[in-house]
Amino acid sequence: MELATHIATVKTLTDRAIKNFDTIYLGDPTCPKFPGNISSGNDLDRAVDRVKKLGKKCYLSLYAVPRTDDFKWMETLIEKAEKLPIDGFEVHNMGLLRLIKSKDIHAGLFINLYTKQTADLLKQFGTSRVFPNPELALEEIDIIKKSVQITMPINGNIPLGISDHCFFIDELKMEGSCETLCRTPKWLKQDEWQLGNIGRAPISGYELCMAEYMSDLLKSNYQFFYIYSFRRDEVYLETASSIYRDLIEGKIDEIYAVRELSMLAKFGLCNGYFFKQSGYKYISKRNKEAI
Amino acid sequence: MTTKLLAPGGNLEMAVGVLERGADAVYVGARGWSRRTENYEMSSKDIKTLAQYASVHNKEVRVAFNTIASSTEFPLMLKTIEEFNSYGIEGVIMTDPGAMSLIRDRFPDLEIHASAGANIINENDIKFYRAAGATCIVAPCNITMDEIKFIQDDLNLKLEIFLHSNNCFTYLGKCTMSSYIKQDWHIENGKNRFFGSPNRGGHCNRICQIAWESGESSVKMTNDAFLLLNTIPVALRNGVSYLKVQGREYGNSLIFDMISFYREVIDKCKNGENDLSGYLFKLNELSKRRDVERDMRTAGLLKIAKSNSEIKRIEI
Repeated sequence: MELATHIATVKTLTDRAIKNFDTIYLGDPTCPKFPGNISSGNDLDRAVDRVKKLGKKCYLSLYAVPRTDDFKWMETLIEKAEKLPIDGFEVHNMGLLRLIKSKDIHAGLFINLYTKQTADLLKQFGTSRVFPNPELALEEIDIIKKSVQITMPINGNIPLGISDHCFFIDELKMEGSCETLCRTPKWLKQDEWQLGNIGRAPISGYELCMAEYMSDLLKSNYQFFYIYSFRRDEVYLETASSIYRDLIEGKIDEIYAVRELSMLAKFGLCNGYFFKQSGYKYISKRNKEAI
Repeated sequence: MTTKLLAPGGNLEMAVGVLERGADAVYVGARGWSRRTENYEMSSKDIKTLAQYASVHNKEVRVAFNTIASSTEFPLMLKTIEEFNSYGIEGVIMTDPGAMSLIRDRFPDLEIHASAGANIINENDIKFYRAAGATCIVAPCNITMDEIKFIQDDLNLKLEIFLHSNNCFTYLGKCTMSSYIKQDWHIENGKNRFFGSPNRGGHCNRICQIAWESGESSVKMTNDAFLLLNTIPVALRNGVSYLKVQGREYGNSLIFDMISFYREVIDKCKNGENDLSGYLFKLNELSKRRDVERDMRTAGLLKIAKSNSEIKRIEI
């Protein structure tokens, strides 16, 4: 069993934040301008050193939507990273696959993987593990799992897309530096609907929570779990990961876990798209009703 | 290389009508498989009729299979494409690279357009999609001259540029905001329609166009439609293969006028006329008519998204 998350910067790569995780995806793939972003090469050596000293795996998460011009700096970064003791790269763009020469590749969320047939194709390019598109239902992910290892998201605000421009600066016309603007998500409301935005990516307002279904996932032989944590603090990371650890080890029951996780959620919980419903809904295993 | 005008066929009348008005090729949606709702897709029977008409008039037909199928739907997709291939269509429009790879193996002579939903944004992406089987690439927004040359000269691929389409806040093909708010699974003739998912079912609830409350203010996300004019002489000079007008979901009258307009402009440019300022007034008129239809459709889609009923049949 493995538990993973993203950590954007060295500053947020604290022992407390990552202590319960086995694998760290280094950097924020959504925006190369995010202050201190390891994905842009900031403090990469220090970040790798820190994770490795704690005996964990780390993958450099590469910018998700590079244009041709971005390859100049990204090729240099990849070359440098390949010489470090990282375990591999997290790739969100098909075009980057050929650039990885000697390390493992995990296909990230924004690679848009929907089918077993594309998973088979990605394997030919050196991909060992894939992040299923959030729109897929569990029964569809089961089919892809026959072909390739799956990173299974179990908690957190789901990214709902990616943009090449900034929601804060270009849409809301906010003034200020990225350090100030990008500190927390901007939350959007329309009746019962809640959305957020972290700059270049809209995120779900309701938080994915699969605590009630962890025993089913484990029975189905899912092994690589992931917690979405863009713009979340170390308290969230420590608490959410600790709850899932305890749940998997049988120290707490599912209902207790859901209650604890709901306290971390600003607006409430959802199951995403796993049960063929609208992404914002939560279906409880026990009463089949929204919590 | 001759640049061709590629026009939408939201129904048989529109498809034949755009060819009559000077389009060199028409693209239509296979029912259940394209990035539009079923009102703007065509039955097998109509696609057969269209393919026969196009063949007689030396025109081309492309069929859009550009929603992303579920893994188990591939045998049905292959069977459907085999049927259309027997009608004599020249190509298909696809998004999923795994699907492209299968189609390339099974139908080696079929043109495969990598759809805008494939979100091809750099030269290495283009190499990947070529390896997957694509023979024609939809240009990324703000494509550079170097990229145009690379696609056509270095990789020997065809290139398609939109004259009429729209830009969303998120990259096309990677947005799941619509299905986050409302999604219904609905299987018809073995194909899931994935209502609410533009990537998988062709129905976008356009929730980005709601006035979202953000603190004291409200915000709609970018979703700008565009009609290009000055790109045409540049595209012709650089031998771009297809100039595409998006719009299966618009009324026939508007699309007929758009195609007649672009046919005239392209022919003028081919005859060496580069000053297109005389066409600006007509372009603005088309733009206004387009916006009226688009706004009405957006309002209808949002109304459905807000209702408690399942999406199922869409009559907008």
